[in-house]
Amino acid sequence: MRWPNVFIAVFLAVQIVLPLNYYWCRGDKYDERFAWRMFSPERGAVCTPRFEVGKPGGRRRALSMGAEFHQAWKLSAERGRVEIVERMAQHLCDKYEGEVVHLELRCQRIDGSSDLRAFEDDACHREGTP
Amino acid sequence: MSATEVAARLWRRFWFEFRVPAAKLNLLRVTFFGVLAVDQFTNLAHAPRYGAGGFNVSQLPFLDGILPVPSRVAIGVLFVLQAYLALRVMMGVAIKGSVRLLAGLYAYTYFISQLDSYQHHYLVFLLLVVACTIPWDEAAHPTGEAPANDEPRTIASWGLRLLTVQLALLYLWAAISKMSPLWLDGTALSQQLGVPWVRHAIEVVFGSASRGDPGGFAAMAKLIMIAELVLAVGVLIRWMWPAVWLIGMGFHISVELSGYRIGLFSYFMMGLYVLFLPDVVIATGARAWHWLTDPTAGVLRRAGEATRELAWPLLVVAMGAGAALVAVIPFEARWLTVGVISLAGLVAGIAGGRRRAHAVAMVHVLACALLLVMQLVDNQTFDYYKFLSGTSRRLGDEKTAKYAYQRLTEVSPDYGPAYYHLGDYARAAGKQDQALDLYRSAEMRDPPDPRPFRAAAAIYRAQGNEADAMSTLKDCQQRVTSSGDCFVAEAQMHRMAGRRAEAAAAAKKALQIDPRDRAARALLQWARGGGK
Repeated sequence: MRWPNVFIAVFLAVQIVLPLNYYWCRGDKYDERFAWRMFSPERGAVCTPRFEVGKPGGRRRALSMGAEFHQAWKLSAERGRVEIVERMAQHLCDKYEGEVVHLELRCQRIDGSSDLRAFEDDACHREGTP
Repeated sequence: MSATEVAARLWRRFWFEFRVPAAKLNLLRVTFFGVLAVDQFTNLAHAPRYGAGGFNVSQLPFLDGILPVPSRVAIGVLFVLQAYLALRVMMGVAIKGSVRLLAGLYAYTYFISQLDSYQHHYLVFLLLVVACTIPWDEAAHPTGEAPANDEPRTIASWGLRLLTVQLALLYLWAAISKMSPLWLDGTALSQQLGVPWVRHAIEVVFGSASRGDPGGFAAMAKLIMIAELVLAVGVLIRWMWPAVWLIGMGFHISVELSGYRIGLFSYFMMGLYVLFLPDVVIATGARAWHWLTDPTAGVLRRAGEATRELAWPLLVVAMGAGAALVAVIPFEARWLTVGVISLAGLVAGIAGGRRRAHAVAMVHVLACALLLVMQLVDNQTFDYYKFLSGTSRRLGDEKTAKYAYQRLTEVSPDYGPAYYHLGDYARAAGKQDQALDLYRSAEMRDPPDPRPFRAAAAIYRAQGNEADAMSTLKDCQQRVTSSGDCFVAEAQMHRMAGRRAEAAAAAKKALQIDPRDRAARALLQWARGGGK
């Protein structure tokens, strides 16, 4: 009966720690994975991601998200998922090599308040981004 | 007795003395894995998302570094294979190996991409992990002596207890997430509920409860949170199970009726709730089931014994029959799918030995037949190619888009947009005659679509054949009565030729169909001498 005890203990620990991680550690409150936050107020937020690319110091042009990413990724971005938006920016950096990628994510919460969720002058060359 | 010993005894009693009737465990196996089979097969339509545009974000960051971007074909094959394995478990054959393989494959398809954002898929992953520890075989294929005094046979399972604890944690965390002002004041619930009769019902039942809550949403929101807390406690206490069943089933049926886009979550939960049915209900149901199926089971058993010498040839025949059934599903990787499913069937048959081979053979054919039934009932491959074509077109992948539209014309010859888009590709390639043929094919399909008419008219006009262009638009106006697009196209033709009166007449007809049509308004303004 030794391994079932270990299995149960590990399973319970994971199921307690992962949701707690959302409340205590997770920076992106719109990322509700593994936290059992079904129908939460955060899910109701509507976000508008905006990507622009252009030569450094030059004029930037807005990109159509529908022409760059699958609709399902666009929907994830519109739910305010910062990790996904940042990975989208990285993807665009690879695609438009030598150009500056600018990203912006504005979110409207269900109580009417809004916030600018992410903003970088150059998503390709900021710290931590390849 | 020391406190440690008491705690150890309580722990042991809570986890290792948890027993349920074998019939209940069998029923749970059928409901849970049955819903899972449907869920995974219907996921096939979503396979084209995977790898589209070469972009992916996995659920766990380190996976992106070690695993390649998933492909639609691999994911599609895995979805169908998982549906097959779930059906096999549901029917009680090769359970242990199938559950383990299913859990592993499910883990891969869930964690490989955040495209799967359903919380219930995370729950299913956890339940499959737990399911690996549940003695399903002990309940499905009893080997020991039957209990005395006609008592129902019971199975001890700490895994099953863990399953109830998992449900308790799910409800507890769900309730905690609702302890926020935006939930408690009803704002979140009101915003999420879109079905008018549900909103009306809440207003009627709770609207008069408080002056500050005329819609009743705050009261309903609090009630939901309380229900989740009750369920969190109740699923762990056996005497509360009848109440848990009533509250939980009511809760999940209401969620399903409320129009939330949550896939099969409610069905999974309702399937799991057989665990909380009173044992007497299960025992009665089991007796009725045995009364109904024992004669057939007896015949099958005798047939199995009589054909034991032919077990291996039967298995080979079953593989062939299963392959023929799965091959009818017009998925682009059909032969790969046939191959992996046949391999899974063959391995289970050989592992089960001569004694079980005929059962594996029969269930293999039945599972393959059920896959085909699911395809025929809810044409997943049509959605698969529809999503693949649309996605590829938007992302500029012309080769894949053309392939998918071509397959759509084969899978569903009545789907007009496929011919229309193929016509566009032919037109862009300079193949005007081929484009006109494809547009004509699109024009004949229902529901009528103005786009192929307009595109064909544009080709005629570019060729200087104004008569055929106009004739095509007139056909369109007769056939497509719900859209003014072809009247607008006619008005544009008249405008190019400088015919103001004819342009005005056509624009007016477009405005009769849609008074807000901006193009028609602009054309009418020009016809009246007001525009450029």
